[in-house]
Amino acid sequence: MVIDLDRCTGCGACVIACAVENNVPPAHEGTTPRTGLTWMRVVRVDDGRSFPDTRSVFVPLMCQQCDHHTPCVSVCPQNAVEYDEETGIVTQVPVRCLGCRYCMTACPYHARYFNWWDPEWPAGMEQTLNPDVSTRMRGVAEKCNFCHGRLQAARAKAAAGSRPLAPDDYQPACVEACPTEAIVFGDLNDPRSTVSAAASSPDTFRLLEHLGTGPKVRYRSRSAAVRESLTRNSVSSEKEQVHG
Amino acid sequence: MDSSLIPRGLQRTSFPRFLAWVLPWVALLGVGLFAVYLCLAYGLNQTNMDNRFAFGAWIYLDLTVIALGAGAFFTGFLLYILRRKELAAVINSAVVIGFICYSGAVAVLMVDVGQPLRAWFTFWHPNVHSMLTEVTFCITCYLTVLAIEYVPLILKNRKLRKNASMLLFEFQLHKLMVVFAGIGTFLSFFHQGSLGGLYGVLVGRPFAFRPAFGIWPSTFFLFILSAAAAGPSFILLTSWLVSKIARKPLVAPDVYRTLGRISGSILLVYVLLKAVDTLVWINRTAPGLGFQASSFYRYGDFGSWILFAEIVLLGLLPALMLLSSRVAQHTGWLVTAAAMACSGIVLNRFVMTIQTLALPTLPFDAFLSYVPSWQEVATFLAVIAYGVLVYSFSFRYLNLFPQERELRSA
Amino acid sequence: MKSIRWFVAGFVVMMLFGWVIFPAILYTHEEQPLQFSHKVHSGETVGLPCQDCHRLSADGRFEGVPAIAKCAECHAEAIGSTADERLLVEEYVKKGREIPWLVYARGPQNASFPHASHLIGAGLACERCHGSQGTAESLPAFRRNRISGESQAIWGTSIAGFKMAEWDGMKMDDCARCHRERGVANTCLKCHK
Repeated sequence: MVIDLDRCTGCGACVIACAVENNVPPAHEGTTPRTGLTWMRVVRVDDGRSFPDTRSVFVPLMCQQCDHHTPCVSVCPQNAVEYDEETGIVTQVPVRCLGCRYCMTACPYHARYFNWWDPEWPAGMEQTLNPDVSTRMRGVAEKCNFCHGRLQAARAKAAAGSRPLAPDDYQPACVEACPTEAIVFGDLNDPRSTVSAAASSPDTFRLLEHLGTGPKVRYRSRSAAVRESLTRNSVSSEKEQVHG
Repeated sequence: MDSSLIPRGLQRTSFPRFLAWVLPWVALLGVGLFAVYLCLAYGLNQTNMDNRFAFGAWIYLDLTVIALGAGAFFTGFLLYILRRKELAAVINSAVVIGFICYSGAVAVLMVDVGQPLRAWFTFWHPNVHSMLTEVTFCITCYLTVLAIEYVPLILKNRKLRKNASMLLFEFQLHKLMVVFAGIGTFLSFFHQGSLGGLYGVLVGRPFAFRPAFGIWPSTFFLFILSAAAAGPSFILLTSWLVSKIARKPLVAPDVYRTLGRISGSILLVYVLLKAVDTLVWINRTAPGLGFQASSFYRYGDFGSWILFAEIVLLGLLPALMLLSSRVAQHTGWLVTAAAMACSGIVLNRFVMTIQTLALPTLPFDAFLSYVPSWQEVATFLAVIAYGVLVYSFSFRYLNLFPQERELRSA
Repeated sequence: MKSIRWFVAGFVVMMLFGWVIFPAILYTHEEQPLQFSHKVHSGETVGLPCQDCHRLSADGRFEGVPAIAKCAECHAEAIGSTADERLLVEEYVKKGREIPWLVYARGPQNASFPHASHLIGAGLACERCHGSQGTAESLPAFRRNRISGESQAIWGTSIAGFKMAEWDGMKMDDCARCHRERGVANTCLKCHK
C-alpha cells in the first residue's frame, strides 16, 4: 500500500469507511482519543510554526503491515497474531486474544487497539453490520487486517469462477473511499503493479525505517520538508505540535 | 484465645492486639477486592490505561513483586543446593514471602488481562517465541512449587501435627525439598529472565530494546541478576521489619551479614554489567535504531538523573555498602543499604515499564503521561494488604524463624 | 478385592455419566418445524441434484437452505396428503413465510466457510462434510450445545471428540487437518472473520 500525502486532504472518509466495513462499534461514552477503536486514523502533523506560517500534513495511519519480523507477532503468547506468508498481511485474530496487551506495547506505530468496553450498537444499527467480519468482545485487541472480510469474499468469488485470485479482485475499504485516490493498494511483489511503481518512486518513505520492521505501507510526498519531518527521530525533535 | 495454635515456646501478642493490627489490612483488602470486582464486571475501562499506555501500574507491580520475591528461590538455591546452612534461619520466611509475591502477581495478572477466562489459551496454544509464554508457564509452575514448599510449614503447626498422617506427609515432603528447590531455581531463572526479555525484545521501543545473546536479549540476564541481588536484600529487610514490629530478635545478626554479603556481591556484578549494557545501548543499540540515547531523557521529569540513580545511587552505592565490613557491624546501616538495593531494583522495573511506554517513537508522537485510576491503585494496595495478612497469620501461627526460640532463651 | 470392586463401580458410574448422561444433558433436542425427505428429492422419485436447491451464486456466496419460493415452484399445491405436506403448503407456501429450519451444519459466527472454494476450488463432494444428509429419509432432531449454542454437528456425536466418520465433527481441528493434508494455508484469517 502506498499513501500519497500530497493528495490527502484529511477528510476522514477512509476512517469512516474502515469503521463501517469492519464493524467497529460507535465510541462508548467516556472514550478518549487514546481509548477509541480507530483502526484507521488521520493524524495532523504541524511543522511547529505558528499561524499563518504553519504548514500541516495529514498522515493516514493504520497497521503498517511489517515484514516477517514484526514486533507484534512474536510477542503474542497464544498465537493470536499471525504473519500470513501468502499475502504478507499481519493478521490479528480477536477470537484467540486474551487481552494481555503485550502486542500493543510492542507496536511502534500504535496501530493496535483494545476493546476497553463491550461493543454496543444503537437499537437497529446492528442490522447494518457487515456479515463478513465478526464483531469483537470486550477485553481483546484488534487492528487493521487490510479488510480480511473483503479478501475472503474475493477468494470465494474467484473460486466460484474457477480462476485464481487476481490483484484487482479486492481493495480495502479505505482505498475505495478515498475521494482523492491518495491510497494505492496492490501486490508489492508484482513488479508490474501500480503499487510497485508508486513504491519505487524516490519520494516514497516508510515510518521508522531504522527500526527494521519493514512496513509494507509506504508514504510519499514531493515535499522534502514533509519527508524530513516524518522520517526524523521523534525523540530528537522537540515541541512538535500533535493533533490526533 | 488462640494460644493453642501458636507454636510452642514462642511468644506472640495478645489476640485482641493481633486483631487490631489485622483489621485495617482486612479493610484495605476489602476495598481492593471491590475494585477488582469493578474491573472484572465492567471491564478494563475502569482503569486509566489506554491503547498507548497499554501496560500500567499492575504490570509494574508484577515485575516488582516478582523481583523482590526472588529471595525465595535464591535462598532455597543457596541453602539446599549450595548448602549454605546458616540461611536455614530465614528460609521459611523467604518461602512465605515468595508465595505472597507470586500469588499476588498472578492474581493481579488475572485482573489485568482483558479476558481472564481465556487464560488457558496460553497453555493450549502457546507461541514458543513469546517471552510472555515463558513467563506464564514458569510463574504458574513456580507458584505450584512455592505452594508445595509452603505446605510443610503449615503442616508443622501445633494443631495439625497432632494428626499423624499430616506429620508423615510433612516429613515426606521435607525429604523432597531439595528437588523442589532445584525445580524452583530452574523455573525462576527463566521467568525472572523472561520478564526482562519482555522489554528487551521490543524492537518497536528503542528505549527498551537490547541486542540478543542467542535468543535472549541482555535484559534477560540483567533481570536474573538483579532479582537474585534484590531477593536476599528484601529477605533481610523484611526479617528486620518483622522483628521491629514484633519487638523481638528473630535471626542472629550474622544471618543479616550473610544475606547482605550475598546481596552485595551479586548487586555489584549486576551493576557492572548493567553499566556495560547501558554503554553499549547508548553507543550502539540506540543509534542503530536511529535514536540518540540522550534524547530519551529530555521529557518531563524523566531526566538522565534516573540512570544515575538506578546505577550509582541505588546500585553501586548499596552494593559497596553491603560488602563493607564496617557497614555490616551496624544492623541499621545494613538495613539501609538493603532498602537502597531494593529501591534500585524497584526503580529499574519502573523505568522499564513506565518510561518505556511514555516515550514517543513516531516522529509526530508526544510524550505520554498516565495516572492510575483509584481502581488500579486499590488493586495494587490490595496485593500489599494480602501480603501483610498472609505473613501476619503465618508469623503468628507458624514457626517462620527457627532461631527465634534460642534467641529468646539467650 | 473390596477396593477393586469399588474402583470398578466408580469407573462404571463415571463412564456412564461422562459418555451417556452428560451428552444427554449437554445437547438440546429440538424437532424441525416440519419433516422433509432428502431421499425423495434427490433420489429416483424427483432426482434433483444438490445444487438445484442449495445454490452457489456467481459471486461465490452459498445460498444454503433454499427460500420458500423454491419450495413453491413445485409445492404451490399439496403433493400427497401427509400432515407435513399440508403444513408446508398451508402455513408456509400460501402465507409466503420462510420455514425456520434448524441448520445442522451452521458454523460459529466467527468463522466463514466459503463453499465455492471447497466445492469448485478443491473439488470436494458435498458428502465429504455433510455425510449422508443428502439422501436421508427424514430430518433428525436438531441438537444444540447448551453451553456454546452451536449445533452438535460441529463437535460431532462422540463426546470424546473421536470421529466416527469423515463428516462427524467439523471442529477447527478437523478443518485444519484437511487444510494441512492438502497443503492449503492454515492461517487463522483464512477462515476466521
